[in-house]
Amino acid sequence: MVELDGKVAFVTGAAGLKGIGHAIAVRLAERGASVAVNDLHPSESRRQNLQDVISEIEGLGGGRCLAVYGDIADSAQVERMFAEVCNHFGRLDIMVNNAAAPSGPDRVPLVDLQEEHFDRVQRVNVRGTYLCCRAAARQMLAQGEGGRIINISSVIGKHGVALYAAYAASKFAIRGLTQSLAHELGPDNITVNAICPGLTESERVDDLAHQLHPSNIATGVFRKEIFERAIRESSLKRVGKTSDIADAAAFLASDYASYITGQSLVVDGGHIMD
Amino acid sequence: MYNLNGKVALVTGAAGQKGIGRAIALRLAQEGADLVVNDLSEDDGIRSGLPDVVAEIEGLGQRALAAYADVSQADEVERVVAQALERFGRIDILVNNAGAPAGRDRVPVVDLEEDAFDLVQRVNVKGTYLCCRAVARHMLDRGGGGTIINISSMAGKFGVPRYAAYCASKFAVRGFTQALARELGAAGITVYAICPGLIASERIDDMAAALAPDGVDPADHREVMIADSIKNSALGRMVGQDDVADIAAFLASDQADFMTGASLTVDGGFRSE
Repeated sequence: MVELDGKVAFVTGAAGLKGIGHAIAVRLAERGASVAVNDLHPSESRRQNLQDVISEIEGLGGGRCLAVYGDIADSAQVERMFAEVCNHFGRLDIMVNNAAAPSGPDRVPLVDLQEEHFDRVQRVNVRGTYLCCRAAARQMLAQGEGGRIINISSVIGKHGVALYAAYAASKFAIRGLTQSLAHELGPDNITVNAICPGLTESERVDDLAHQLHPSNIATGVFRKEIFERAIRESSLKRVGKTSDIADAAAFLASDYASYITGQSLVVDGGHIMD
Repeated sequence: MYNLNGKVALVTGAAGQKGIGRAIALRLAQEGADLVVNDLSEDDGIRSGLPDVVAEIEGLGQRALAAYADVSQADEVERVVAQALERFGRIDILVNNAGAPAGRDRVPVVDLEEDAFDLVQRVNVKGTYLCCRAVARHMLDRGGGGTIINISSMAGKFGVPRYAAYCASKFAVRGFTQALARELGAAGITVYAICPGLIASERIDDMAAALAPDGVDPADHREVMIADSIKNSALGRMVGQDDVADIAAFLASDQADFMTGASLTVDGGFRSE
């Protein structure tokens, strides 16, 4: 069933009010899952705390949820966070690795790309996904009842674009990790899939526009241009909504997708189509 | 459940008792859709299960209509669409599942006869095109909206020896799917392909017969094909008809819209993509 009653989900990077993680957490809760949500502690992040998403899930009635603050790229913190989730809910069925490094000074031509900026993107996106996959897989294997791991890659995890070398490398890496892990965990009925969103209306587009706008074009104008191009390129003539990604995640988390593993689902309104 | 209440679906090639078409038709009915189920004529001696499928759908509390036609004949396709509209007034979901039976086309290309090649293209490609065209016209006429699901194959993503005609046709279905998705997206009509791995339907018997090496009993070869398929899948089992039906239900709902143009692989993690 699409319904996820009795399941426990853990979604990383869920504090952005308009973010994909937030939408996925709420959607899984709507379907009946208990949801643990993670993000960096507000003192270490520009984002608001997790209270908004917690309130939203609690407002659904009956939805149990838990906020778990921590850095997914730090193994000690990951261990502590998984202990918090499993102590609170007693189990873990669905892992959604959504947290990613904010776009920043890594969005430059490769010839100008500084090591520390490259490293930061790989650390959060790849190392963080690896650590959370490892911890989630260990827990699911110990339970012996299967499970679902969903990693958020990107259309840029399928095709590289200029100024995104660090990001593209990290998102390709997530797909490679996803495929290997799917082969490893398949015999234990744990499916591992990636979702590759196209341009999705979230805080991240604001960051992006801020980061990449040419000096002679205002951020707001550039943001509009990014959107207009995405609309033009999509078959459905609109940009992605976080709910589109949440729909795909809820499907992958459900029994309807029990034979889909190792796949990368593109959710981009019909642009790259592969 | 994906709520398909009030929707009408047309599924081609739905008469095989162990087939994907039947499984999809029943699943869409379980999700609330009324069904038009199609296959070749009632008395072709191979696939005579359409009345059974209709009875099963009605047993689920949904309405069903059997529409016999060769999907590769334009006038017959037009007739099916007319029958569907006369009975139900609309078609919201089209599933192009009908395919040519495996036969003399499963040979090395150097031995492949023209008529065997042509038959596969005619049913798999032209049939998909004709059904898509007829139903898309209806969907556009009534102001847009709708879903088209084309059944391709893992052999529509990766070439397989002795499958040249089949691979060509299933690659073609994916190309066609992508082009149509771009044409119809602005009208809110989504178009997808599903690419299943090997399924233990009637078709696997045909395949085993065509692919068994000289001196090997097709029934034994069938078991080898099944064992290989299980060994190669990450999940340690073959694709079931219901696995494909599950995905069709998702795609037929409004929850998959933003994936239009996609080819979904359903192979238990054999060839991850």
